[in-house]
Amino acid sequence: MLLDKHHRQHGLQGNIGRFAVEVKGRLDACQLEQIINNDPIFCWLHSLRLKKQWPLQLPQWIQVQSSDPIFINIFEASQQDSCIPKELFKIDIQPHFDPLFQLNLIYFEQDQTILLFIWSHILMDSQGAEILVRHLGDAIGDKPIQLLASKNTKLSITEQLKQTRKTRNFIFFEKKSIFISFLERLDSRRINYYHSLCFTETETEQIIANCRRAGARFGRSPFLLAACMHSFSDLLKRKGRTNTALWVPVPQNNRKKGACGPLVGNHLSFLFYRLFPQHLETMQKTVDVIQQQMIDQMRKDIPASFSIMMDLLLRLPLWLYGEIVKSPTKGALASFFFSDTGKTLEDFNVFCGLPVSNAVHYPPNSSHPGFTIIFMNFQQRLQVIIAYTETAVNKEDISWFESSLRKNLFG
Amino acid sequence: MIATVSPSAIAEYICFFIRNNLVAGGIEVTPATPLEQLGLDSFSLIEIILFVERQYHLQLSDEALTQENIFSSETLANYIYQHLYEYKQTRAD
Repeated sequence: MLLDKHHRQHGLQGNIGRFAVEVKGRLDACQLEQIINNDPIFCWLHSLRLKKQWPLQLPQWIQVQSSDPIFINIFEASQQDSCIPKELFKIDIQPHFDPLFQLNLIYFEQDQTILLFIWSHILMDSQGAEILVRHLGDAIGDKPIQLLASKNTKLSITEQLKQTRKTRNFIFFEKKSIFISFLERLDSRRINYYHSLCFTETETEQIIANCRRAGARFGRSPFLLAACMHSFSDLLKRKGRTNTALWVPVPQNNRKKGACGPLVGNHLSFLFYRLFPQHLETMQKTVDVIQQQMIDQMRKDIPASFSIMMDLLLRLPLWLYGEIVKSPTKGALASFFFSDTGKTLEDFNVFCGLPVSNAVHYPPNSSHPGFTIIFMNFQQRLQVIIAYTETAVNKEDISWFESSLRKNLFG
Repeated sequence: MIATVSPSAIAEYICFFIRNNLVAGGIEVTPATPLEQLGLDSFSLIEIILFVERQYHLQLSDEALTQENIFSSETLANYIYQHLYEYKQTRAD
């Protein structure tokens, strides 16, 4: 909700995610509509709206009754089009008034279809959306879907305050205060753009081998983050800004691996990385520092405490909550956003009986910091989506960033 | 705790933790299964390390957490066993 508001304050759409599934062949829109309208999960999710609440009240969903069926928007791409029409990236969802997701089919001349699922992140995170879309295309086998998380044991208010204080001390005051080198804050051009990088299977293997060479012991993410940190820091230099420290919160999916749910809600913990210029001397050093910060935070149980703090702050008026969350970064939330969805799409081969040729997450973006990098695997290939606003960087910066990132990933 | 547990018992215990906390039901987890093959991310891998540390009252050094040692439940268990054995020897001396 905070991100939804933060984006709107900067003249953008709300906290809206997009998940695109590209198949070889034509998906049957009528058949899909029939499946959706006969599926209790889709019907229930479609009927939810965010309830307007008073301060100190917890946010709530309400169900609205509608006799209208859920429909799918259809687009016929022209001959020269090879990608998703731009207008679909401008669609907004107002969580208090609109259905929280919508489906679009884009037909291409070359016997290809893209299903674009657009949803409000207030309803679910990207992993939840992935599960829902795969459920629609009969692509998760016989696994049962878990709709909601089981209720956590309620902690006493004293314990919640204790955990909150611990996180607050960690984020705000530990050792050195946080200085962030901002990208530009305000500008009139507040449009999200996306830039994608796709690696071949061989290139992906090469990157994974480089992860190991750089000393990444806990999977690939620390290495991918290190590569982004280096390229981002160099981008700041290129733009004539002094990098005093980078602050990047990284979400971690809390679901059990291989599980189909929980679907509704955001099931993420966060780890926070604070890197100073001396940590960016070599890739190996950066990977080491990231891993050390990761272990230290988990030993101190920071991710769990952070979730408790967030739950507690939910009762505050949104503006106050926003002030608290943004205060360490003076309004930017992060130097940039980073996420690695991992290999959840590795086995995504068939959708509605048609072969899947690609699947991509397009993350929401905000104008401040206006720079988001998301890594994901599709089948055995690694791909990257960079979301940016021209407030932050321009196309030249992005192509420079891409070549820098490639250099860091390939060594 | 200086347990007289075997490496295979430690490995089974790690598998039990993974089955109960980190992967969905129905996913096969054996001591030899590479942890990466289970789709475990960095977060989960560190959770396993922290579970082991709490369980056996030890703190694994940074150097101990090599790619080889955390390849599977079995390799991790072997390392822990070795570590516990060395600790026991030191105490006996």
